Amino acid sequence: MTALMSASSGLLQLFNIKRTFFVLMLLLVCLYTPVIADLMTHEWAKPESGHAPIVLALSFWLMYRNWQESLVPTDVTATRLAFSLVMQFMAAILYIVGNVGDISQLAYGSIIPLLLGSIVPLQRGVPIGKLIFPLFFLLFSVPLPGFIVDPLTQPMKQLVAALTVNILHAAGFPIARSGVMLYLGQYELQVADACAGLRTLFTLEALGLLYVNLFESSSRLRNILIVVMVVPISLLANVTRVIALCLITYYFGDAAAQGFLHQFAGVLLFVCALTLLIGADLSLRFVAARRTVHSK
Amino acid sequence: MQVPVVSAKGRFNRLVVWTISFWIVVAAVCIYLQHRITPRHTLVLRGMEDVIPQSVGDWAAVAYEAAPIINPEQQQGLLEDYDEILSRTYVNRRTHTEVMLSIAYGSDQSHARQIHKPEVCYPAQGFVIDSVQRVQFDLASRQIPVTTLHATRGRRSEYIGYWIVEGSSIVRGAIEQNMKRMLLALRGIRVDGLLFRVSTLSDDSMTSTVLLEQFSQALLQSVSPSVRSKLVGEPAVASDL
Repeated sequence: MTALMSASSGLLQLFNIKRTFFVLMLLLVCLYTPVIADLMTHEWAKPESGHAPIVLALSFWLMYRNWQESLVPTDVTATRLAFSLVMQFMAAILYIVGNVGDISQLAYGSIIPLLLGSIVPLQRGVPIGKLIFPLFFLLFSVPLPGFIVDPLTQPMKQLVAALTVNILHAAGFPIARSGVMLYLGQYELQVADACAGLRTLFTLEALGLLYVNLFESSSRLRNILIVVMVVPISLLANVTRVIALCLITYYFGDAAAQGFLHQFAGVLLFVCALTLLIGADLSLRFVAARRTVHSK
Repeated sequence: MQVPVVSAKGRFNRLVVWTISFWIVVAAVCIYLQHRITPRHTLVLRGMEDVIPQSVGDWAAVAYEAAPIINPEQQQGLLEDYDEILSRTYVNRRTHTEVMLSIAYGSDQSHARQIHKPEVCYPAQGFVIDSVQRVQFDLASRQIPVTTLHATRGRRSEYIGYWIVEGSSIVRGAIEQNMKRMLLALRGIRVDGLLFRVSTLSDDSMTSTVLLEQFSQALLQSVSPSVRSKLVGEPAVASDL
């Protein structure tokens, strides 16, 4: 009996720690479960959007980490209240229009103004970046609309295909290209959207931002440089992936490239990108260190 | 023995309570509006194979496929979104030019199931689209907004012209399509949609566009007015939205 009592009091204490936060989370779970369930069967089901649920989870973890229950004010100032009202009203319009009009970007995207309107006014004296970054990061889980993705995807695919052909040709492989179709020996390969798309860049950009945020550095220049360098890194990682798939097809046949090894190439993309990212960071640090030595 | 008592009053901020009540109302409004939506089918062409004639003007349908017609449905293994698809090749008796026709009907134009534009389904099947133009075709005694594309895959060079009818009028472009769907949904209506696509294998933009226009004219003239109004929609009226 006593054990039960102490266990339940322990549980209560656990919830006391970030109580307001959990209430808000409960509200979000109720509101967004149907929206997310819908995304899971469509936009997020695409291979190039696999990062989105992870971004969502990470954003909430970051928010949880930075939330301080002791800093929840008992009274809210007029400015904070007005800000909250405007944000929540905007979120409500997006939520209704998105859900009724069947536009998942809007329905899901409303989570950002909703959080801005409910979390920011409830934290006093917390550095604003600590609250804004998780919300900004959350943007990367919103599916990009087609009218932004479609016109940019085609040239990116062409570039990846062209780079792949140049590299493999220089290495002595019998390879030729027509648009996004690659002809390697007797095989015909197509660079698909998922292999070179803007969405991959988007995913990697999220990875870069998270990296910058988690491994904080006082140098703002370093942070900006890393986020910018994600663009060429993404391109390189994509080329590596396509080359890997070409080689798998060339040596092990079509079936191998379409099966397990295709998944493997996807993992390779991220390992490659992360390695390049860390490499870029280390070289930036090295250059910075040398410059400080020189200036002394 | 002390059990920590949590007083519900003081702790909870008023803002939190307001936020929750506000969102309960929003969710209720949303559920009401969603349940109000009813499908409206105005474009159904039952038995397209019979409704669309085998012979239109100087053109006759042929049993063989000169070149495989690109499936409007295929988008990297996504859902089967259309209820009926008609794919045919017509050959001109005098000039022997060939036109590929593809009409796809989808009864449900919700976002997930809405008609895929050829800009999407051609690249999904390995084509590169190097030009997208918005033109007007002179059809059914009015100007029809048509999108023309040039798509290539290997040595195959194809000129495509298409339009999409939703509900009772033509919509062009994703933004227009989304806006119309959203505004109709807020009024409680979900419409059906139809893709009309003609294409020809050629290297010449000018003659291809003229050819596609002429074929579309011939086809629309050879069907009954009721079928025609489904294939090109009614002239758009402001009240339609």
